[in-house]
Amino acid sequence: MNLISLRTPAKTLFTILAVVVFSIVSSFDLQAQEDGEKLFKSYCASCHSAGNNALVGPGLAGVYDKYEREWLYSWIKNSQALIASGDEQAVAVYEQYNKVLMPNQPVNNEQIDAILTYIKEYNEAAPAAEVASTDAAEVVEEGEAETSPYFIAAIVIALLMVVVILRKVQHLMKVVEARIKEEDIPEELTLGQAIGRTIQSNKTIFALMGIVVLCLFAKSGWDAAFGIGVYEGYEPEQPIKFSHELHAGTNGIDCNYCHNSASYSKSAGIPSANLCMNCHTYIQEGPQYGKEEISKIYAALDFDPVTKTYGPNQKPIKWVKVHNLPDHAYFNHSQHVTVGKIACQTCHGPVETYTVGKQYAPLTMGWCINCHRETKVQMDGNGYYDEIHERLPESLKKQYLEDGTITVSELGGIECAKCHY
Amino acid sequence: MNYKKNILNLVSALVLGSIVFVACGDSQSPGVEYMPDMYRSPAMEVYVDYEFPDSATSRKAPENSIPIGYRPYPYTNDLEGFELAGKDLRNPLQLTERTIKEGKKLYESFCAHCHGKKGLGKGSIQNAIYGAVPSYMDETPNRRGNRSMRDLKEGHIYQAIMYGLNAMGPHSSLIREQDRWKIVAYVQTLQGKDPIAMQQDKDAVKKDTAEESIESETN
Repeated sequence: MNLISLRTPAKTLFTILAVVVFSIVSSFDLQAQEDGEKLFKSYCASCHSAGNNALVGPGLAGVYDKYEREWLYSWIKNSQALIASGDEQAVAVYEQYNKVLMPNQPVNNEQIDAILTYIKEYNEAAPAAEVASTDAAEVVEEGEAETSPYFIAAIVIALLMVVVILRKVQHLMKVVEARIKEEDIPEELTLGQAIGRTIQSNKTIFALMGIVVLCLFAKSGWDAAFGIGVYEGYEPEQPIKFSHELHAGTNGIDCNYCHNSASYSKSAGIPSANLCMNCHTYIQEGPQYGKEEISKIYAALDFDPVTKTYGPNQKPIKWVKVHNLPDHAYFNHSQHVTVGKIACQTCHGPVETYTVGKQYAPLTMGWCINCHRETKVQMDGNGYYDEIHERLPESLKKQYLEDGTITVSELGGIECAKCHY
Repeated sequence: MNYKKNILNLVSALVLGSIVFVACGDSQSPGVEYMPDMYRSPAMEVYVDYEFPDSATSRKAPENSIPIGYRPYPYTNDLEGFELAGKDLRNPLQLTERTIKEGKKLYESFCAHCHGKKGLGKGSIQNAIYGAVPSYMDETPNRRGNRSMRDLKEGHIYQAIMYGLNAMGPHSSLIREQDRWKIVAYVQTLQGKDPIAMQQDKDAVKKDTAEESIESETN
């Protein structure tokens, strides 16, 4: 940026030279950095971050200035010997990080230098990247504005005012007309009288309109009555803004990882907070809400993200239940997931695109029955029915086996007592 | 005039009714419930608020109670326990092609997003913290106990699933015991080993040593 402002030719020449020299030097540096990055990832990254945040071990930003190079060499190659020798710095680090031993790393001094160069470069580049990411987050935040009820009320009031004014004007015109014709000045009608007169003079039209309006009301009432107890589209706000889009979509975590009881229990299960901590012990900042939402897990577990210890004041997270089946209908996840091999998305929709969990299917009886009528049972590789089918009388064979497919309903999947007992 | 009044009443009732129903289209509310006494279970259902002081439906079991099928795990969560598990702990399942296949499916649900479908450490997690998961084929001896990923024995792998290791969290509460062992067997195939053959060899060795020890005792 400043290059343009330098005017004198000598200065320009100097800057060009400087840029050339710098780029040559930094290209060497870049080479070292690339190797360093590779080495860092294969030897260090499963326990250390290159930044400031502590994972299993401390974040490595600043180690190149904090410790002597020679000390770092011997620590990285054999930290246990260094601790045993009673080296003060070594013992201090060991004590500070919960006495977790660092395994000896089979690297030489040049490789350690390359790793340290990479860490240094990483930290110099990091602040710029951070600024860019927060900018992106702000853009995402903007939502659509809904039409507020106050706005509608204002429009209604304005229309009423127009009606009142127009009626006044009409009355005035009549008064003027009467004056000109020198007749009696007519009385001003009330609004009710005016409406009454209009209806009386257009009886058929108003009767028809009345019938149409009645029908519309009746239909909306009928539809609404069908919606009683159907919670399709229920999308309540949860105590933590957990996004399935981020976890199951972007990061590709399998549904079963968190909802692991779906394959062997009636309920699919809301993961307990200890499962969140499998990753969020170390991932303390999310791409959308930063630390705000993740810190709610920590609050529930009374977890200190710096020392990584749990306190005694733990309280459950009050998730809002979305799918509420009535007590008189029995549903079992394991039957459908493990035995039926039905994909989660069949009933729950494209969950990996939801930012807020919602009820996708109506969960009505008609919806259940439809699926039981259409779904074919996988008979391949399942010897269970072979003999029964063999022994069936001809009439039943004709009825059930002739088309080559057996649906759930043909195996009794729409009997009342399968779900209501 | 009574007739007119009736119509007026009917219309106003319909208007009021439809306003009430329309108000239920709110995504924050589940909507109208038909006969709550048939909807709400008197027996405990999961994730329903039964107004316990802490509002948790899943109550803690009484102290000292043991889950059905529980088996104690004697290895401690430190280097010593890790080494001991590697030395003594053996897969109790009789391994077949089928268990390995089941292990693969479980691996894809519980492990693949970090360790990658082929176990090369290239999972689908985007976060940089989980960007350097080691490959099971890695032969650099820089893991716990100065072992390489490829050297890890079945006991080591099982211990890692039980307690977690480094940035990996403990998975004992997610995965049941049998399933853990199926995953262990599949991970061994990703290390380039053949767990079925290894188990058969070990069984043969075990028989031999057992016979030898009996012989030495009788001598």
